[in-house]
Amino acid sequence: MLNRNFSDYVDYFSKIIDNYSLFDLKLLYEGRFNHEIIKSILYTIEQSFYKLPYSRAIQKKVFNIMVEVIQNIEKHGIADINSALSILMCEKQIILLSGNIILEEQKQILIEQKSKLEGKTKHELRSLYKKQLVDGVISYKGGCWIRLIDIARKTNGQHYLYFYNLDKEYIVFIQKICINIK
Amino acid sequence: MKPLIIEPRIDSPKVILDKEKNIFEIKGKSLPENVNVFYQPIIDWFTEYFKNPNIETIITLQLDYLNTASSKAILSLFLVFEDAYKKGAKLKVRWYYEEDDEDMRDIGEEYADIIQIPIEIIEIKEQ
Repeated sequence: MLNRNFSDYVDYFSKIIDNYSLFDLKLLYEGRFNHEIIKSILYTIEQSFYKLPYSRAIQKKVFNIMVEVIQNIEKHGIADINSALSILMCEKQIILLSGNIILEEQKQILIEQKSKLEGKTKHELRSLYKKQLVDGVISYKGGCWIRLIDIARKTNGQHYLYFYNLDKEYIVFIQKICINIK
Repeated sequence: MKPLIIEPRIDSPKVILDKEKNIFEIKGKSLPENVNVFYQPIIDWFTEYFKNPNIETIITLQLDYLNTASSKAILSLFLVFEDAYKKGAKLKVRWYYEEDDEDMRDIGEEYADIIQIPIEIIEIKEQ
């Protein structure tokens, strides 16, 4: 059990959101993630999305990516520690931000996995996804490789990972995912 | 053979597998907490069904959302279909996606690339 005060981390996440003053904040959740909470969040997102002027295809894309992000946090984040999630929207773009605590060893794996996706074309990402679908396993110590591939191909690579060391063992892991609105 | 009917939930699709009525449908969202618990009975049902299938089997898959864990489970289901097809069962999968939903279309096309059975990718036009 990690024994430290995380108020700095939550403040840090809030400051990131403050940088997007031109965006509307549509969701901000901070707390534990389990499947029941995930269902509630997703239900809330789904209901509020139908009132927004985005196409159903965009709504579904955001929903799909959100599912992958929060299921990844649920499966691979450190239990008993709050995580954070937000959706920011403007006319041309939707941004998903998530923050959770991971271990240093997971950071290295994530950096390595993400680097393998850099510069890949849609066709290459699709081939990678198919290969992982057939050969891969869902669980992975550092996160889930197939989820990273899936997010990359659904966002044309607009998936950014940031890491901030809390100490030698624990890392704040921030994901920023941008979805352009056609 | 007893039908398998599963009502839809916020995280799992509606399932109707009815040999007598020749209806084989999975429709809705698929992001269950435990994909194996959800999909194994479906895989088991089809495995049993294809021991003595109907003259023709048309399977409808119309999924609004599909998380990556579900996509692996559905691949396992497709492998059951492929095995039956290779053994002579006359079957076809109809993969429906909503207009402009290129993500769901892509997933259907990827299954069609991987699995050697007839798969129709069908766009549902917005009314």
